[in-house]
Amino acid sequence: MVPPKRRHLLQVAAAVAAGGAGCSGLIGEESSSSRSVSEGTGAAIPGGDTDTDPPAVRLRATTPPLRLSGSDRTPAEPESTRRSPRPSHVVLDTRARAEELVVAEDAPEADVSSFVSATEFESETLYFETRSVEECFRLRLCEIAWTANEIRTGYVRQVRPYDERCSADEQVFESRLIRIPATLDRDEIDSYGTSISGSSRCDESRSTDGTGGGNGSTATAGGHGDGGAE
Amino acid sequence: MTRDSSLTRRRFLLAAGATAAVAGCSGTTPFSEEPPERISLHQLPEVPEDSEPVVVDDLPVDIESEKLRRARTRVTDLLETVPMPFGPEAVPNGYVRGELVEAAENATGHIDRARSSSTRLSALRSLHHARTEARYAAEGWAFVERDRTEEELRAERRETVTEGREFRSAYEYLGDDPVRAVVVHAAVNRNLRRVLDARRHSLSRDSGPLLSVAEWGEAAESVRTDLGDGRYLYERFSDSLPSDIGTIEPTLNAAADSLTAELERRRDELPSEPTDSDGELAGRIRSRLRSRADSGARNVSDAGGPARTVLAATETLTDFLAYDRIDSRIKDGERFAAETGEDVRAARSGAIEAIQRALAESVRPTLVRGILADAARQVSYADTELSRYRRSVRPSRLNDSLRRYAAATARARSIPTVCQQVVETLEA
Repeated sequence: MVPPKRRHLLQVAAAVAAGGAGCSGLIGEESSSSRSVSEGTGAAIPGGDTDTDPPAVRLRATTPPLRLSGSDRTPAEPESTRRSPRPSHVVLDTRARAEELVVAEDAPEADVSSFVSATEFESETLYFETRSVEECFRLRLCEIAWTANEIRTGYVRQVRPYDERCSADEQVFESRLIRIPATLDRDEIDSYGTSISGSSRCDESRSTDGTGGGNGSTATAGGHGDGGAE
Repeated sequence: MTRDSSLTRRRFLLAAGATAAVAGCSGTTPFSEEPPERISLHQLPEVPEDSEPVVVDDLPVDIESEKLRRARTRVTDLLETVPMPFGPEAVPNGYVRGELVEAAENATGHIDRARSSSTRLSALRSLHHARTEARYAAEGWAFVERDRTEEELRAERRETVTEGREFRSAYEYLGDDPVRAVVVHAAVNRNLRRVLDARRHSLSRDSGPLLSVAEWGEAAESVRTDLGDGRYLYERFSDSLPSDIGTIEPTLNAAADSLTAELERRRDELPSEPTDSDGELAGRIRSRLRSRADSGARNVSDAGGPARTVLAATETLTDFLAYDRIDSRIKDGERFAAETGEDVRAARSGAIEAIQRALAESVRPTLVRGILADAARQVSYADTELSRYRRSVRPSRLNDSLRRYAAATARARSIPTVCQQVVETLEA
């Protein structure tokens, strides 16, 4: 009997469709009725807009690197910053709200405040989400898509360089603060979707049919930059 | 596999539940469906762990122990270039390191498996895996130590494919005994096909530069081994023939055409898929065999050369006969499901006995050994599934294993008839 090939065990990526205010999509092996499996990032929403190269800041740490202080949280945000497999999704539609962003202590120094300062809230919206990832991998944002009441993101998962020290058994968190070139109202947004493709390249993952968004849309092929300011 | 005893028991339990509900001393719903009785672990068949199937593939070619020794040496040479065991100072990324270490360990495991193989062909195939795994580890490490590039390995692979084309252009279907010629040429052509198909190879995924180099190393080694082993088998076979023996290709072509026509006829006569419910498991067994027979008949002429066509046709004929066998058993009321551990044990031992008997009773076992080895592998898969259970199990959870045992039995029992027919066709 030949054992299953080691490299193929990791090829299936979970795509999480976190619909509704509860945002109960779970990552990884935990089962959930809202989970689907996809080989494509498939973030596109019919009738919506898509950006394949949005300005973004990526933070990576052993605890969720970004959170919102104060009591005005969206229901989508986890209740605490304890280690949790739940992805969080937060829309920052005003400067006042964006100024409540808190960077975790063990996150590397990143210029979150200047990114916030450079945002024109009259025409732009900030959005951040946090996901867990194995320490020896990193996520690359391929695209973000939105409508007035829905936001979806699509990632690929890449192996980190062989000479960067990491443990195969550890998980870390990646937060991404993304600038969307549209004014969105956080109270109107009631659906979030995130998918992580098994492919490691954005162009490949977008060329396949994706079902990660949860309402049956398909991924679109298209040109693409280099995943934002990452 | 009778249902009577369980029905009796079910009624008894329903009555007991009703009594309890009336007395108000039970939280259970008295009229809910009684779950089937679980089968305890010790009632399931004892299955061997990590052992070879009861029949493994073989060829009527004398594979020298020296050939196996050379393959083992290749593996150990490759592994010696990898400084095992290596830690984070060598490859800091734990995932990448784990992939290389695992490949090296797999290579060693395949060498061990080759040592305990009951046939030299199966040892050679284990050593093929050992070589590709060892090369993966070795080239991954060569990337760190010697800046090995993908391009060097892709070039090596292209060169092997070119050699494969040359081998094919000079190919001759030598032979005197058509049965022996069919199985040997089919095996050589299998390897050759793998080499020639490799020109379309691309990496399944981009895992970073180091692991991509490792994967290209594995791909290069795989075609190199396929071509080397294919040539070796061809030469050993040719050397065993009298020097004045010529080609047997016309005989093989005639048999291939005749069997292809026979399969087309059978395919036309295949009844449409039954839509009635004959029990979930039984229906699935029949449907899978039907689908195998149907697609086998459609694809037989694309098998790649007359020897492979004859062998593929033999396998597909087996599926047709196995389908008929299962179909008539279903019509007689058989459902193949198990209610007790004894049912599972009987299904498994029936499959093994049928496989062994088919090998003994076939007029030319050489011709059908590969198909029986495949059936025996199905039994091993079913065994592996059974061995996963650590506690008692619901009978319906065993359906996958039961399906494999039943299909293996039906195929094995069909083999002596198929073997006779194909031998007659080859000798016509």
